[in-house]
Amino acid sequence: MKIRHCILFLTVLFCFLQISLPVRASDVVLTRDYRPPEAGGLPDVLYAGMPMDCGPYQIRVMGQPVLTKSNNGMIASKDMNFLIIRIGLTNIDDKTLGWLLPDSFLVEEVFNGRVYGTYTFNTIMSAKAASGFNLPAFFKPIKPGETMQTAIVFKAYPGAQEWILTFSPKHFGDEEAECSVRFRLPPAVIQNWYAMSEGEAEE
Amino acid sequence: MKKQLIAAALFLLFLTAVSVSADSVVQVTHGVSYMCGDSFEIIFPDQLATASQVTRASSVQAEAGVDERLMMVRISFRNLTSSVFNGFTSDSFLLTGHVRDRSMSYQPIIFQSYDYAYGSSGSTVTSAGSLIMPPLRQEDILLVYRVNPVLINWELHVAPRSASEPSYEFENARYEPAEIQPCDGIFRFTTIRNAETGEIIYYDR
Repeated sequence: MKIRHCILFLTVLFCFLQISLPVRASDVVLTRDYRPPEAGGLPDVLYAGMPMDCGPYQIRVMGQPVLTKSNNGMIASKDMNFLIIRIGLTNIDDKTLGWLLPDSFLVEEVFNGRVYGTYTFNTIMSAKAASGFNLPAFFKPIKPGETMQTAIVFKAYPGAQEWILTFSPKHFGDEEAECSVRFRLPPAVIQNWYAMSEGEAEE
Repeated sequence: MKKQLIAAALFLLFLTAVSVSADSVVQVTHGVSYMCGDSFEIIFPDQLATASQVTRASSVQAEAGVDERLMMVRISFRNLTSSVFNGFTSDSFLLTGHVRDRSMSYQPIIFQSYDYAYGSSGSTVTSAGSLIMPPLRQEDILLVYRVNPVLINWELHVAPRSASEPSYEFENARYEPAEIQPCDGIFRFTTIRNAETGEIIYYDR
């Protein structure tokens, strides 16, 4: 009887190891065979032109974001790039909306389905980029029914596979944003991937 | 009946032992990309090579003594953890060689950017402790070990660990701590090139 119990125990242990080991022992696998763990929690993609409401605003991404080393004559320092996103903001309220504060926008980088770094908005580069597109900078009041197209820029490392944008509109005097929307951006177009050599202008 | 049951148990244990040992080591093909745990992507762009002298950036960096060789390993790795590595410990890249039941372990005497010799602006890494590596960054590093050439069955134990407390901020990025399977991999090399003669030695375990 004892031996039977022992065998049963060993069999169960063996089955457990067979199930668990391929997962635990996969310390090194070919990258092409690698399956990242289920991360989950990534928001949907907001494709170009699709509207998303957030309080008195309706936000649209106006095309594919661009990852580039240069932005209207400025070069991103070190191994960083500029992530330039053209957006449209529509006032769907019945009163004029004041300037947005820079911390109304955040981007997160995604690799293998996992979120890595969070980057803050770059005010000066956003104004430069908007000027390059002949668009107004983001700090402009928007009248009811009016759409403001502008460019927003983040200085970020260009190694991510996807990007998530969080829009939480805040105005002067607001302690907290009255709403917040978070969505994945359409795939970014990568320009000037190669790092600049020494001696070139830096931001 | 008892004997059969015992035999079955021993067979199961044997299978378990085989399945444990078979998955823990990987035989390297250079140029192929490997995932180590969930935290590092690793490529060996070149074959392992031995030399009697290593010259970089117009200066002799290391010379082998009597009965010694310098083992050169080029390794390219990407940090897929969510933390900023502030240097690596000296045990992060250990090379071992075997002869019969004896095993020798070596720490790198040179840890430099692979393109250091060309004076590129990106090649600022001069030691394991000086390499700051934020998430998603990739580095191409030359490791040089002073080894006993009699040993065979070379293996590289890669277990990148931060030399000091890892941080979660770099430039204007902020990272969140996350539980990720660490990299603890053993890479086995079956061919080694003599950098001076071009001869390739094949090891078959």
